Amino acid sequence: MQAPKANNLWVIGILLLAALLLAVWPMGAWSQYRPAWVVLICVYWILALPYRVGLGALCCVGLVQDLVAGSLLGYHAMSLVLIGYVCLLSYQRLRNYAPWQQAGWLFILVGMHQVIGNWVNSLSGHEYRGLGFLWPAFTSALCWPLFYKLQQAIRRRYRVT
Amino acid sequence: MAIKPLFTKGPSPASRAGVLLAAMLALLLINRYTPWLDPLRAQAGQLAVPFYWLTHVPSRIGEWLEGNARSRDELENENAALQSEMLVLKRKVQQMASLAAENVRLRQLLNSADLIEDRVLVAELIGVSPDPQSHVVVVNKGSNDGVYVGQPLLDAHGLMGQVIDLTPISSRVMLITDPTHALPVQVNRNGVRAIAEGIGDLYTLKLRHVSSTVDIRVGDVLVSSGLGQRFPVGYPVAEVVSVTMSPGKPFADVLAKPRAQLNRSRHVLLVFDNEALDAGAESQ
Repeated sequence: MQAPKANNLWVIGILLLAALLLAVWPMGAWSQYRPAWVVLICVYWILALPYRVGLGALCCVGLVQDLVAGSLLGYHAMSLVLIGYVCLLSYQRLRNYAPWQQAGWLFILVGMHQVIGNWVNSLSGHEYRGLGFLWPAFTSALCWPLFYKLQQAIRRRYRVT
Repeated sequence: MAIKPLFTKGPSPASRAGVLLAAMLALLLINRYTPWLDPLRAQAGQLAVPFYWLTHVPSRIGEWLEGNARSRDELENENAALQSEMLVLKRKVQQMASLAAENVRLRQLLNSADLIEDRVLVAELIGVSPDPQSHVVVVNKGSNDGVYVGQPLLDAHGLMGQVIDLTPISSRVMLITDPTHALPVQVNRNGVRAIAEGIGDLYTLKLRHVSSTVDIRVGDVLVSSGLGQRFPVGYPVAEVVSVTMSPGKPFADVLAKPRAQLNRSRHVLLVFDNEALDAGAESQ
């Protein structure tokens, strides 16, 4: 069987750029509640097109985010690869979940991202400051159902395959 | 001839993920514990500048609107206010001039080097670190403008932080309230020395190891002491807001509020202070 012809993949690129922009948008004191936009985008597209979005691509996206956010090189890349791997293993099941179940799953995925972030932070000398670092996982899960619908609409509108 | 495989397959996701994870972990540790990747980061870091520039657009538009949509009355009022402020500042400068001259004479008497006036570069803040745990900002001047790692950053009210990362066109500045930052200060009133460290709160600095018998009071101004060989001497850093002496503890809890408006200042100054630092080091 031939994989369907790649189509309009630039849409994913633009969405990723937008997510990166949102990821560094100044939010003042609210920044601790900022959803992990890049993770959300990556998870959606790996669920939708697992044969297009590979781990290598996720790794590159992560490195770009590391550079843009100014974190240690490899932090976002590592967590995106890990999340991508979990998604690749489970995408067939995930697609059949109800939105709220997917949101719960997202909480765990973004939670992993945040735990790695916390570990990297403590590596660079920040002390542990309570469970507050998990807020983005919570807000990401809250956003997910709506976000999913939006991405789905974009995917159908531009016929990204 | 070998049979042409029908289903071509690369390495399995597990092995791919394993290799990538190991590579990224190695990268992370190398980046954390060695300076090998710094040149690469300096070049590739320029990638971030357009993003920060874009996040900066709304405030630019706001500023432009504010600048253009103002009435004549408002401008006149502002002009008058600025004029009077300038008068006040000029009077202070007059005094400063004589004080500086006197200071130089006294220093000559003591055979120590003159304090040379610091050269400054005006920069604009274009971004804030997305990580709520680290207090880092991005400014629009980089190594092309002569900025160097460790360079102090000031605003109109006091010391803000120091440069930690450079690209040719931008630099990242760690604020004095970052939990991993500490700087040597002294009380302006009596010269008591202390270390002010950040605790991750933009409005609070903590003084380390101030023994309970030290003369330090609420309202004291803390200035940089220059002992760390990094910040120039005598810039205001913070004001003491609370001193708690508990009999059971060897040290007092002293909290201070930074003078600089760390979350508001947009126009900031980068100070070139090598000469002044040398002079300060010699005179001690």
